[in-house]
Amino acid sequence: MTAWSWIQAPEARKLSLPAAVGIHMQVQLVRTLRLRTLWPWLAMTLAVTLGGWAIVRFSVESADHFAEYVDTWGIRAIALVALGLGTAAVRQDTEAGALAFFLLRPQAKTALPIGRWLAVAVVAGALGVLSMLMLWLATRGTSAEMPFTDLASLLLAAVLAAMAYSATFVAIAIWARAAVGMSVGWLVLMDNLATKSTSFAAIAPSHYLAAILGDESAPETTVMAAVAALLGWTALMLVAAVVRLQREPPMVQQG
Amino acid sequence: MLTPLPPDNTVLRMQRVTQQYGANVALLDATFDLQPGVVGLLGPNGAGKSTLIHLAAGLKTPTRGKVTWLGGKTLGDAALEGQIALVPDGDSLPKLDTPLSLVTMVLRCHGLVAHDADTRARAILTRLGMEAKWHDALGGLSRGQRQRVKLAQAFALPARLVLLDEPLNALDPMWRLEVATLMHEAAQNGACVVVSSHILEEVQSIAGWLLLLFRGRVVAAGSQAEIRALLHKRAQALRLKASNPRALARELLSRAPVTELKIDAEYLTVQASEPAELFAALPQAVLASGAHVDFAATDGDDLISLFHALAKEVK
Repeated sequence: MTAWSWIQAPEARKLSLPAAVGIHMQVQLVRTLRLRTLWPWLAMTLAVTLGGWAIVRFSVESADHFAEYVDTWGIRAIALVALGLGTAAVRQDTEAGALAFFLLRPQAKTALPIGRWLAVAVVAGALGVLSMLMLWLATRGTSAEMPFTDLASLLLAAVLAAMAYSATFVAIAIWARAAVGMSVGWLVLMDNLATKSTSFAAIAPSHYLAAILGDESAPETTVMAAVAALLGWTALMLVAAVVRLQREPPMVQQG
Repeated sequence: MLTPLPPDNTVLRMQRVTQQYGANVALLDATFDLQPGVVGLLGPNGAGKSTLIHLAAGLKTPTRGKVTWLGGKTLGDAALEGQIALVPDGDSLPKLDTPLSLVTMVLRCHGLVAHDADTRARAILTRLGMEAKWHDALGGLSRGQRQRVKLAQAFALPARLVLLDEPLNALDPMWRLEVATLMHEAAQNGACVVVSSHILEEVQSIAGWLLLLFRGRVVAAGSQAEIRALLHKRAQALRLKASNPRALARELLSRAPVTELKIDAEYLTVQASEPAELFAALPQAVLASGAHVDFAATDGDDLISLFHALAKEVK
C-alpha cells in the first residue's frame, strides 16, 4: 500500500456535470444495494406479488379484482420503495452532518440530487418492473389473463412511477426536516384525497399512472399526456431539489 | 493540484459579511483576510463559528457582504475546484458506511478515479490509525474513531482552505497531537487551516493566528502575540509572593499608576490604571526593594477573561 504523503497526491479530475451525476449515482447505489438496506423493500415487493398471485388463483372475479389490485398495491409498492429509499438517500447524510463532504465541488449541488434520484429510481424501478412482470406472468392461463399490450402498460407505469415518486421524495428530503412524515402525508393526500376530486386529480401522479394502466377513473387523460405529465412532474421535483441545495443546503446549522 | 496563491497570499477574504436566520443574526459585519497557516476560530457556543465556517466553505450565501477566495475568486470559479476541505461539527456519520467506503466515496465525488480514491483513502486512514477498522460500520465505531474518519476525508487531498469545525472533539491526547501535526503539515504546504473550538487552550497551542467571535461579531483578530498584547492590556491585577511585600509595594507606588493595592501576609496584589506601565516598572521595583519574589501571576490575562471583557463591550 502507498504511504500517505502530501507531495505524491493523486490528481483530481475536473468533473463534468454528467460525470458528477454518475459518481453521485454510484455512491447511492453502493449504499442502497446492501442487503441490510434492501431487504424490507424486497420483502414488500414479494408480498405484493404474492398478493396478486393469490387474487388471480383464488378470487371468483379475479380479472376485476386483479386490475384494481395492480392499480392500488402494485403502484403503491413502488411509491413506498421510492419513499423509503428516496428520503434515506439524503436524510442519512443530512442527519449525520455528512452532506457537506459531498457538496464542496461547485457542480455537486446539481449533481447530488440528480445522481441520488437516479439511483433510487433505478432500484425502485427495477423492483417495480420485476413485480409487474411476475404479476403479469401470474395471470397466464387464468381468467384474468392479460395481453402483451397490458404488460407494456404495466412496465411503463412501473418505470414512470419509480421516476416520479423517487424525484418527489428526494426533493421532500432535501426541503423538509421531517422528510418521512411529510412524504407519507403527501402520498396519502395525493393518492387518497386528491384523486377523489376531479379538480385536484391533475396534480396527483397516481391519476396519470391510472390513465396509463387504463383505469376508468382517469378517462379523459391520454397515455401520451399522462407520460408527459409524469415526466414533467419528475423534472419539476428535481429542479426544486437543486434550487434548495443551491440556495442553502439543509445541513447548515446555526451557531 | 493546489491553485497558486495570489500576490497578497489571501486564501479567504470576508468583507462586511452578515448572515441572518430570520430575525436571528448569526454573523454580523465580519471583515477579515486569512492567509496560509493555522488559524484558531474561537468563541463560545452560539458565537457564529459554524455559520462562518459554512460561509467560508461556500455552502451558504451571506445575507449581506462578500466572501471571496484566493485573491477575489468567487464560487463557481474553476480555480476553486478542490481547494476547500471541510470537517463539519457533530459526531455522527452514516451508520452503515464504513471508513473506507465513506472516504473513497468522498474522494470519488472530488474527481479521483476509483483506484486512486481507494489507495488514497487507505493511506490517510492508516495515517490516522484506522487501518484495522476499514471495513467496520461507522455506527459501531467510537466517537473518536468517527472523528478521525471525518478528518481523513478532509486531509486526504491537499487543499488551500481546510475548515475544521471542532475537530479535536472526542480525540484522545495522542490523536490530538497527530491531528495538530497534520494541520501544521497542511499549513506548511500552503494551506490555511481554520480550526474552530470553544475550548480556548487547545486552539491556543495549535494556531498561530486567532479570530475571536462573540455573539456573531469578530471581536478580535490577530497573531498569538497580538492577542497576547490585547490580553496584557486588559490584565486586571498583578499578584506577587514576595519576601518583603511592603517594600515592594512602596517601590511600585512610586513608579507606576497604581490604583489599588492589597497586602495579605507574603502576598501583594496590585492594580494599575495602565497595566503595561505596571509590568514595565516591576523589575526595577523588585531590585530597588530588595525583595525576593517567589511567584508572580496576573489575573485576567487569559482568553476566558478577554471574552468576558469583550462581552461587556458587546452588550
